[in-house]
Amino acid sequence: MCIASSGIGILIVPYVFSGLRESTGSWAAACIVGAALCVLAAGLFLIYGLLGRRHARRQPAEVAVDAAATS
Amino acid sequence: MIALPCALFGVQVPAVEKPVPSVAANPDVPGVGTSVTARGAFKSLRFWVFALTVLVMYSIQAAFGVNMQPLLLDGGLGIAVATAMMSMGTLGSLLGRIVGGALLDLISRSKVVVGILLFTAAGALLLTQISALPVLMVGVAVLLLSLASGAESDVIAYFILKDYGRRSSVSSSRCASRRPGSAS
Repeated sequence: MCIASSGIGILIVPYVFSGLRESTGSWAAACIVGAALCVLAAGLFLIYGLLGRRHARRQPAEVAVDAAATS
Repeated sequence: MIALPCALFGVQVPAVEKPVPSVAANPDVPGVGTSVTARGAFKSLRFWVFALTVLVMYSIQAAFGVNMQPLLLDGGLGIAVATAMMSMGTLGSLLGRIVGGALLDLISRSKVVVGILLFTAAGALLLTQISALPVLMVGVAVLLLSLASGAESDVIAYFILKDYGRRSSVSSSRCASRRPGSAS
């Protein structure tokens, strides 16, 4: 599912960037959109981490095993 | 000529297919404590947040990868310099893959991924001023983007394995290879 979702983005977003270049006349807008999307992804990732912590608090036994596996 | 012998040597297909060991029975397998089925993962909000993050991350990398050469040419670089930058980007991607993989094992994986994304954002912001930048700085921007691109390549597999265990990461292949009498 993750690979499929990334594949959809990989197919679409390059065309969006090209479209922004065509409509604005420079790549600056596309680069700014790219940087903004990176910040968005970083924020989403932090939410993912927070949800993981909440999940871990509810199931401490799993966390112990997960920590052992990660180390 | 190099890859084929390496693949033949490195990928040993056993003559008799070994049964897939039970994840629960093997405590040394990373992610075993959080091993969940694919269906269980799909029901959690956390998984969908991860899927959306992955979608955005990989989309950005693809967008810059595909459009990098026209971007460099429009920015005033010559064809030779732009091609050299693309070659440097390939090397940067290779380096990013090795360094990113090592960092994922050494420090907090969350910090690594956020760092990757900030590298990409910095590279993208540098490229907004491409026509005003010296070639060296354009090279730095391309290197930042390519390092991040390489480092991102293993993120899906690493996180799915660590957070959801092997049952979810290989569930589709297990379903496909399931036959009567085999362990489910």
